[in-house]
Amino acid sequence: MDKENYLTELAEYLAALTPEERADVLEFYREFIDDANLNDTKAIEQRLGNPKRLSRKILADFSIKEVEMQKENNANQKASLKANSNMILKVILALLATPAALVVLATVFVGLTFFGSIGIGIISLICVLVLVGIVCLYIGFSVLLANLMAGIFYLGLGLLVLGGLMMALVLLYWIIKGVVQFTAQLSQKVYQRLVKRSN
Amino acid sequence: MEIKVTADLLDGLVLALLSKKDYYGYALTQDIQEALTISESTMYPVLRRLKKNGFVTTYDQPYQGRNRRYYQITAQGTEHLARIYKMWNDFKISLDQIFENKVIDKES
Repeated sequence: MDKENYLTELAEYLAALTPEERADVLEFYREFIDDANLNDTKAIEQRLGNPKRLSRKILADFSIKEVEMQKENNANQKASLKANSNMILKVILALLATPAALVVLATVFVGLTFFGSIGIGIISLICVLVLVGIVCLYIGFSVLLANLMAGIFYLGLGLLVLGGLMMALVLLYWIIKGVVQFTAQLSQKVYQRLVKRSN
Repeated sequence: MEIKVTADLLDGLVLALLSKKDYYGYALTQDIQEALTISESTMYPVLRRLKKNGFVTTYDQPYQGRNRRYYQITAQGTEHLARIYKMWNDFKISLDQIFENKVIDKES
């Protein structure tokens, strides 16, 4: 049956929801299709869009409302990194269902390449510094018995490098969290302008 | 050009309809669409949100051998509706003051 095929496909795209939420959504649309007398796939898709498109809109609304509700409930507490990342992803998916899809795709691609290259650069730097720190500690230990001062010096240097690296990583995490937060709020505004208007 | 309906207003409209009688999903969508152009994917998240906040409950009733899920307003929902309606009314009055003055100026 076309209705069951449509709903099964919709269910697949809604995998991100909990089983209860997914069951609720499917029940709602099963009844809708019955009450609206949509008898074949063409009629269903004319009214609701294809399953993928519908699922993206539903998911995007879930995320946006949740981020908004979180903001209302915890006025000072910022939305978690995970919630924001989830939302950005879902907004991108919702936008891909709109006519502006190609633009969105290009922007996301450029963004990923940009941040990807920066990421690779940072990771390489971190690896080098870890190596330097370890080498210094090794030199320090091996020289320690022969020359106390030199040994202590290298041990100190190694610890300094590794310690500083740990602090830098914490800072990096905070920076990433901030950037994601900013992007999440930006994509929320973009969603409200572009997707809601195409309703 | 369309005026964008906020989530709050949409919540209020759904609650207002439910204050008259219990509705099942499709009928509610139809009646809302008499006043507003909203997409088919908008109704479900609104109802889910209202249910999550305790403003609406659901119950099932058999119909022609299948199931129909009805939405019903709660006492909390009635209070929330009053809040939104007041918000809307104040908004409407303030805007009308400016619009109506403008119309009068044009005629004189």
